[in-house]
Amino acid sequence: MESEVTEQGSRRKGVMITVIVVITIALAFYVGAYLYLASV
Amino acid sequence: MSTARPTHKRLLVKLGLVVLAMFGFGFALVPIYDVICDITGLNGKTGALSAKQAEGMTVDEIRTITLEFLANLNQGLDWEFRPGVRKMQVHPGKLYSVSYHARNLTGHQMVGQAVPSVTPNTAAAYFSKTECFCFTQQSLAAGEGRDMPLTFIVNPDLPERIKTISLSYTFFDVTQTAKR
Repeated sequence: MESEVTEQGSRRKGVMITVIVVITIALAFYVGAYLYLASV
Repeated sequence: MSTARPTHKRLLVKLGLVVLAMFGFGFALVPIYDVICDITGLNGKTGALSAKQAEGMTVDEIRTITLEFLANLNQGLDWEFRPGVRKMQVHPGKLYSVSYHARNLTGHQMVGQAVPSVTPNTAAAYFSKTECFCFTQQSLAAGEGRDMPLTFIVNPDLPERIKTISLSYTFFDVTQTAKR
């Protein structure tokens, strides 16, 4: 029971980290494009 | 625990590099796009040429290419825009001049930017302009009309299979951008 809870928690943590990583990468692309457009 | 940390550190460095690469890709997207279009002639982007370079080309009097001129207006641009001639026969290597006419039909000053497009796409790399109204933004006062010049040359290296080239210009409203 305890290991099931731990596994669920670690899976949730993994999903959260993946979401953060994807958002950060997308944000980096957006900021790059925005800065270029602002510079021209 | 001590073995897990270095792995995370390495992963973090890799992710950081991906983020940095993505930032660079986003920033350089437009220049990269322009370079690719210049090399491949995609999107009908045509090249600019100096008058001196154009004079150095050999005229192919035997070969005749049909050039079609088209004019389009982007939505929301209340202008009249048409080519002086719809069609003409040209010899590769010879410099030609035509004109387009634009008139601002609105009651206020507007600034437009013409964007060229050549069909077929492969012909774009062989179609060069020494003078074009598309090189700069065109500002027209309320009701003002203007004949705008276009001087061009078709490169003699144009593939034999191409007999007709369509040159299309689309005017976009850049009044707001020009005010900045």
